[in-house]
Amino acid sequence: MSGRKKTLLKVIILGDSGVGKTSLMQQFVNNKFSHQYKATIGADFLTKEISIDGNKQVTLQIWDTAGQERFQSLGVAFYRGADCCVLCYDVTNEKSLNNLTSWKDEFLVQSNVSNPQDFPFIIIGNKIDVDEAKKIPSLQKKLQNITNNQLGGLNYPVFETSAKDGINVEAAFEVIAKMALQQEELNDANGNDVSDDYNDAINIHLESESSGCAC
Amino acid sequence: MVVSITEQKQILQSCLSAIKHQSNLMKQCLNENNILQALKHCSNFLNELRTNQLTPKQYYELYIAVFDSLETLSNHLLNSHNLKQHKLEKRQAALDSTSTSDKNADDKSTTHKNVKNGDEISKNAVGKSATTPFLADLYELVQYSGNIVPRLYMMIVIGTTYMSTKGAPGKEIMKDMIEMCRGVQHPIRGLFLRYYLSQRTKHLLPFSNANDFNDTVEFLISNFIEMNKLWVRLQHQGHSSERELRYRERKELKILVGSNLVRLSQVIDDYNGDETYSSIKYYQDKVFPTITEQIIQCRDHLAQSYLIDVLIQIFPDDFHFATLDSLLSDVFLNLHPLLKKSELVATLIERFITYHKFESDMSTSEIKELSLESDEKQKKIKTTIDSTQLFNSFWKFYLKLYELDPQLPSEEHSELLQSFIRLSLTYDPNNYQNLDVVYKFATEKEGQIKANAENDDIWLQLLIVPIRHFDSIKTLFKLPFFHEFYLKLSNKQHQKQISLEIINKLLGITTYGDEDGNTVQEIHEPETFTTTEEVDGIFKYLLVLIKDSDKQNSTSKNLGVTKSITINKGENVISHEFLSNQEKICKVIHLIENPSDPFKNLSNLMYARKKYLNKNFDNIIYTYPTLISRILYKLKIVGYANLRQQKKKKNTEASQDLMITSNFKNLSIIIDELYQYHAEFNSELILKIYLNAASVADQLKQESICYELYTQCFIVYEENLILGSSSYQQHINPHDSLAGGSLQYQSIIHVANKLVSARYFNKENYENLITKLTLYGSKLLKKQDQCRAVYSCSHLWWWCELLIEHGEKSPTVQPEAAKEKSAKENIQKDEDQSSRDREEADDEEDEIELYRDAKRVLECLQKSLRVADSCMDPYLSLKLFVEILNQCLIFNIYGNALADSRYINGLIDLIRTNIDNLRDDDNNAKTDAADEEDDKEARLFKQSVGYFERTLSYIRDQQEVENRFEGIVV
Repeated sequence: MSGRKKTLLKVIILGDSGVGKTSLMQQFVNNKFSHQYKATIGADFLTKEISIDGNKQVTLQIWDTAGQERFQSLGVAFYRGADCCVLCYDVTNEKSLNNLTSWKDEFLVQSNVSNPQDFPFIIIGNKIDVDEAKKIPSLQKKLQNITNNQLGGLNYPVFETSAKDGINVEAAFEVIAKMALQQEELNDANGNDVSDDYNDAINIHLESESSGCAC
Repeated sequence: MVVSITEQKQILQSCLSAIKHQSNLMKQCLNENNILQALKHCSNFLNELRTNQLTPKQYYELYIAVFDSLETLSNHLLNSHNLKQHKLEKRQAALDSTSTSDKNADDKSTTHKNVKNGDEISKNAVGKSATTPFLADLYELVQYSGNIVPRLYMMIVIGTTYMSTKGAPGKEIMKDMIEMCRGVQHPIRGLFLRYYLSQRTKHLLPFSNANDFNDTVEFLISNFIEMNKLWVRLQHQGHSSERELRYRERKELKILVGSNLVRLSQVIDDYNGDETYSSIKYYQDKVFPTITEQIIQCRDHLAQSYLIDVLIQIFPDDFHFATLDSLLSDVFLNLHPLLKKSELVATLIERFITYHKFESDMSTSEIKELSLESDEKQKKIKTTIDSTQLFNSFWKFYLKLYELDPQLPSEEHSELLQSFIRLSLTYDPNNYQNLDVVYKFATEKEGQIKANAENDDIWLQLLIVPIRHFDSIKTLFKLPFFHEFYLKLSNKQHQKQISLEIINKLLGITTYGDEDGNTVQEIHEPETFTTTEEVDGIFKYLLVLIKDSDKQNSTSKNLGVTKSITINKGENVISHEFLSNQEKICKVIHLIENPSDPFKNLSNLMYARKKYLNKNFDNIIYTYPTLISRILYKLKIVGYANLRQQKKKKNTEASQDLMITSNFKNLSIIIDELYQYHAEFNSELILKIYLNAASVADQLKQESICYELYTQCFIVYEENLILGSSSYQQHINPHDSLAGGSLQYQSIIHVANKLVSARYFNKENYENLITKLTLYGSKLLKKQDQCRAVYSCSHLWWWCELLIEHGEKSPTVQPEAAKEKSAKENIQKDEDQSSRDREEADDEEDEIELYRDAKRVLECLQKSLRVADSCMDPYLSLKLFVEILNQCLIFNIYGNALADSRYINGLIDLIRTNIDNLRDDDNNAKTDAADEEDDKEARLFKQSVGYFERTLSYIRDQQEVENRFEGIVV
């Protein structure tokens, strides 16, 4: 591997407040789970290196976002350059399930990805450790309904996880990593080389640096 | 410098492409291992961050782009460092191959040495391909960069990369970096730079021992303090006309400042420390005072409200419980005077409430599974939360706040009190004292605070919250000040709203908007009210609805806006809402229930009417019918029980009897009241109510009461119905014997229907009543009404069934036959019974005595025949004849000797003659063109003939099957 540069894959986790985005990330990266609820302020990421299919080393840069809009005052510029987007809901909270579509739309609008149609999304239903009675009734049907009607009928992978007990988290992120890698390779193929042909016209701008403040 | 939005967008785009371009160049150089050139490009794109023409959001976009590129640089540097390290170690190993075992031990020192001699060694090692200086040198090297922003970014990226390598002097680098960051005092640039510092260092912060940990915390706190200063200072930059703009910018930038606290919270969580370390205590002693001091001292409205919010959100609940008193009285009270404390308190309390719910969930569902963990947790709950103390802390804070700032706006008071109520309801749902304290305070103070009625709606929520929360509405009875506060609301609309809320709760209807904005209704089993106190408790909240008048609704303002219902023949308009409110009151009346003591129940119902329901006579029309039917229902229960007892024990409990009688009298008064105020438009309804009451009174053998009630019916009839224009405005088809008929006719039929089953009158009274009724019938305006009323009344003289229990005798029939069995009725019997007939009922073994008077029946039938004959319309006459024929058949079946076959045959002949006559006329008329009028008459004729034919075929059938109607010639 030493000859090749490491691949950095950017993953964004989205979803309503309180569905467990931070917990999922913490469980995956640090194998930790805390019962204490702390709202996420702004956006932050953790990185983890994993190997895909046993040979390919990648670095996952996992961005955890604030579900509450008031804690996202600077906008969502960090969506840019994402390779995969994780849409989270809480299996006990129907509203969070219904909001998946708007999170997806918001992501596509803001991230400005080149291939919105095939951009890799993955759906995670968290908190499967809770009592059956508290879960959304006829969840599968509703989920299917949403994926068919609102998420464009695309077959996004769906995982049901428990960040608390660490169920399925690893597996979900493995798939995330694979999908992100595919996306990254796709981007490399069309994107990166083109930008090398970049003309130097922009250098004009560089000359104007004297006008700025000296700091 | 004012830049337009489009210009800003252009600048942003050009900056972004410059960054992209330069970072591509940098990557190329990196691939060629030309680090110095790469750094040059890096510096170039970092220069873009020196702009001050962009909004924070746009600047953030640049920042993200830069961040990504710097990440690449960092990765590359780290890789080549590791590579070199690797090669170096190999060489080292080759050089001093003496031992491999102490290599690890030496590792630190060698690395350090290597760093120093890096350049030289790398030249030797990698040789021709590139000059890759080691990180320490690079760290020094970038210090010579011309502009401070690029310089510091590069310093941080290299410094942190360096820190991530083994044996780097992490703490020194950290200290150096944070000191150097002071060099940027431009707020936006400085904030982002420091944000970058905190992002890059987050996984490198040392906390392996107490010393390191303290340093780390200090590092974070100092970064926080500096960022906060920059952030606050931004407000005071530029022209004063840009204040709003600055404020907006600062709002966007707030998360950068907050991120430090997030980090701090994480670090405190992550640090395991030694045995003596307690994260709560550490927070309480070290972190909390420093942070809050900073927050207080910045004296900035935005900073304070945001940072306190963040503080509450990102530190665990335990921490807040530990520092609650201090947070409330030392911090909240010292914040900016214009800052809305209520919001902060609400956030804090919401957090506690969520925590409480979560903990109770945890303790119920998982205690068994995670015995170890939960033991610990339980202990925690016990130690940290004493609900009374919790409430007291907040209350103390509130009193102090009020003391310090008596001018506090009502909104604030209301919001704060609401939060306290929610808190108390969650943590201590059975402690009503807390709530009452709140309401008492509010009641006393509201007078002082209240400026005008508009403020009312602020207080509204205060009252509504607990109503929604309580499982039982009866809880309200335990809060004397709740009602007092309720009365203080000067706006009746608001009182109404609360009353409705209470009613809905009472009726078990929970309406709430769910998360998607739909209204969801849940219906629960409603509670009932058994005592007078409870009736009082609830009806005092209903009074506003009872008194409610909907007259103002007809103003033009409301026309077309609210759907309305026309009542009282168009003289009044009411809204659906009003009607539904009245309906709800009625439903509450149904809840006055005491199965074990019906007399108490009755007196409660009476009480509710006397004290509450009759407070607005306009509205009794909506509520009294329900009340009356409830009273009747209860009376029936006690009455029957009483009768059964009498029968068993023989000795009469006179007191019970008396109570029933007096209740009936009271009931009669209630109906009278209704009649008094609503005779004009609702006589029919009142007539029916009287009739119902009378019928129940009869069944309970309250003869004199019953007689009076029937008399009342006649009064209603005479006063209001005899002349009252029909409410059936539509055309009445005279041929229709069932649905047709005037209001008067209908009223008579109603009375007759009840009288026909009355069994406990003495003969005189009964005959008085039925004679009078028949007389009314014979005086109706229209012939067909007269005819039908009279033949209907004829049945009153000919009972077909006894309708009372076996072994009992009706007092209406001769008492002589009744013997001892039914001697308990001390009613004077009319001795004159010459016309009474005794007949055996069809299947009865016993001889049953029924009131029958064949002569009067015949008189009635004759009267109706005469009336029918005198009809001008021959078709109608015919129809009426057939109807009378059918009555005769009934009497014949039930053994009326005077309605014998001879009489019936005569009637049949009469009908036949009529039919023949009409047919002749008809045939004659057939020659004319069959216009519509003819058709109609023909149709009527056909109908009547058909009816007649069916009657005849019925007679034939009966003759064959049942052996009836002997001698009737068909």
